[in-house]
Amino acid sequence: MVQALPCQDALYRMALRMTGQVASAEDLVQEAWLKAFRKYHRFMKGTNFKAWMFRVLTNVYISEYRRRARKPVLTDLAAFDPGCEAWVPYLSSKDVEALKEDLGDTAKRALDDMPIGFLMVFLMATVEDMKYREISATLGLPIGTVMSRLSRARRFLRRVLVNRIRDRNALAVRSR
Amino acid sequence: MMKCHEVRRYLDLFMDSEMSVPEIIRVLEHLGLCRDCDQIYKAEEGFRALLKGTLGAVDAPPGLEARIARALT
Repeated sequence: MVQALPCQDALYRMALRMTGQVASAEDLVQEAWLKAFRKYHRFMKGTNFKAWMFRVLTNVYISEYRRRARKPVLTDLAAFDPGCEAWVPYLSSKDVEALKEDLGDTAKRALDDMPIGFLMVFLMATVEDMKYREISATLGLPIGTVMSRLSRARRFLRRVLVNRIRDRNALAVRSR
Repeated sequence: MMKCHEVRRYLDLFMDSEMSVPEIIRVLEHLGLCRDCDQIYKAEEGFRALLKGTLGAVDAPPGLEARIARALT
């Protein structure tokens, strides 16, 4: 009997955002564990197990879920975000305060629009606190690509959130 | 000393702890003296914490581990 699988919550969180559905996320995590047990001899002791498991999860997703994926695995930057090269100002404390109520829904919707290649880099850095080199090794991407995707993903999210605040403020002014 | 535009350009790297120690010290020096940049830094810190708290507040369903355990045996 296997007990307390490590990094289970992190794997599930990632799978849920990748697939967008609870049932698919559960299947994906299960497939990843089955694969991991079969390939365990390839895991190098002393290296980061969570990063290795994310790699397994990604490979399963790409090979088995890609066909029916709702998102493209390959990234088309222009389609993802035509204004991605433009600088987006950081959010102010007031903006952050304004987002506290409903950040969840807005952020999740924005992430739903993000191609997997960007989404994974973003979540690994933002939610899982992984270092650039860990993300780079996990996804098999050069560090420069990790940095550029992360930066674009952050700008994209900031822009979506700033627009959301602006729309809400405009609505409040109109309804006065 | 680092200029405001440099600090803002490298803020993500600084906050991701991906800078060298001398660079980190230069950013910290600037933040200690520049109120505007320090406010941006603090807001970004709050934003990141909010994002992490929101997106990270998802746990695997309770039955999933048992299901995987069954599949593994």
